[in-house]
Amino acid sequence: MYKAEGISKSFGELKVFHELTVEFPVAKITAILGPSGCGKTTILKIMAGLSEADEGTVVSTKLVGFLFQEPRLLPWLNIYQNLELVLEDKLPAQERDYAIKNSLQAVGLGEYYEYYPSQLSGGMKQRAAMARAFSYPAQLLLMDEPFKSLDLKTRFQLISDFLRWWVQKSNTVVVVTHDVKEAVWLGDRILVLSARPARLIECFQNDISLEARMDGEVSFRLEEAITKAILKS
Amino acid sequence: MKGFTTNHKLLSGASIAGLILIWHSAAWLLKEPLILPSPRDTLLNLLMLSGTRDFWRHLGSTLGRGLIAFGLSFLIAIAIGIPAGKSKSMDVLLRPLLVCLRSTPSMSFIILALLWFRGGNVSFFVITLVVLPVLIQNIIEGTRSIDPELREMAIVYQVKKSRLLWKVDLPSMLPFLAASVSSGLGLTWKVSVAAEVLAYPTWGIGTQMDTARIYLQTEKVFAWTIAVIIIGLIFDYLADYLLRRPFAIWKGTKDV
Repeated sequence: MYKAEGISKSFGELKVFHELTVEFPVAKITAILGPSGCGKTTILKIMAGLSEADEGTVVSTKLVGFLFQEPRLLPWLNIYQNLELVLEDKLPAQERDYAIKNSLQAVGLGEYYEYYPSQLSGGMKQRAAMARAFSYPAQLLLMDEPFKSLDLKTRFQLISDFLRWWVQKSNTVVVVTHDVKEAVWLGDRILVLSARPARLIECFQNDISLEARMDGEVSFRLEEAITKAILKS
Repeated sequence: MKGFTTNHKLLSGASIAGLILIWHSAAWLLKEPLILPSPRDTLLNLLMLSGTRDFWRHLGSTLGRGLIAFGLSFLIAIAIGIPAGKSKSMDVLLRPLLVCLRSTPSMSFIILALLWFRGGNVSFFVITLVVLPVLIQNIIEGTRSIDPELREMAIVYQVKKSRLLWKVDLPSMLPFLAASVSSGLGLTWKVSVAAEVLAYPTWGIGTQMDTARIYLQTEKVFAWTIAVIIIGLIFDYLADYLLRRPFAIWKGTKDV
């Protein structure tokens, strides 16, 4: 179990959260829902070691994959080289090549590895960023609203691609979002946080199978319960 | 897009042709080759000079000294500029020094160097001091232009520090490095000729220019000047080709 236990974080006078505990069970997808500015991204950054909590203990792992809101690809490297950059001293050459090609295939960019980011559409760039996270040999994958800036259709496709990959790998995933539907599509567990300073309001278990989650009629009740919890906070 | 660049080439060709025409008319009206030789006489003189071995040796000496001094300044500028771009306090510490260096007349450096060094060493000293502040300023700005989000990505994916410098920081700075090479080299040629005029190294364009002045060989002074301009143009083109073109490809403004 990865977790952040009793963590507090302030930026100057601004108290983002105080003695907050969130747990991320292994081989499960945990979705974090909460209003803007409640420190969702900060939790991910603390788990990734990019930021330190003022107090509390963090149980994380050394190698962490991260999918940002923006693709964050280096414009001067082609897609293959972009993936290679993060793998260079993590995997031996042959394995690396296989991991890169395999993950590009998984996101539907198998033909595009020689393309530069500037030659790809916004959705394709985010796919490439997803491939980078997939190829990275990390047990923990953190995702910060990675589908936010995409149109509905691309978003749907990317989420399906993601889930197909996840079924094979069963990594521990933490995904931050403020879209209830997205949280239900992705999350095995859904944590609802309050506004600043963030508290854990409720933790929902999502027992709907992966295939059925995207069916509105099945997931309706859970979505409603989550919406109620958010509005109550 | 292609028609546009051809149009640009035509325009710059026309501006050079116009300049030569004005020069030619002025020389023709003045009829005093000692004061203003015609473009034709200058070109003939340059062709004659370039047929001699000494011409290439003078040219090579100035060029060599210029490039070594510039290269050295560039390395120093990177070593100082990158940390200064990242740390506000180092920038504050450095700023007055840079302003002092930039405001000091090049002639002061040359005269001091004449007191302290001999011949070619004067050029090294002067070029470094004149070019360094320009380079450092550009590199500080380049460092500030590095996208913090890309760095954060590289850090979370544990990209090694050396690779972070080569693959993330330096390419981000490339447009600024190109600008600094371009302006820095331009300054290098100007300052090194000026230094040679006074320092009189055995081999050097400046020495040749001043000798020509003493013997009133105005067309030779012009011919050497043209040679320096050509050097400047060649290096400017090279810097542009090597440093700015890849950037245009990444940005998608040029076809791969």
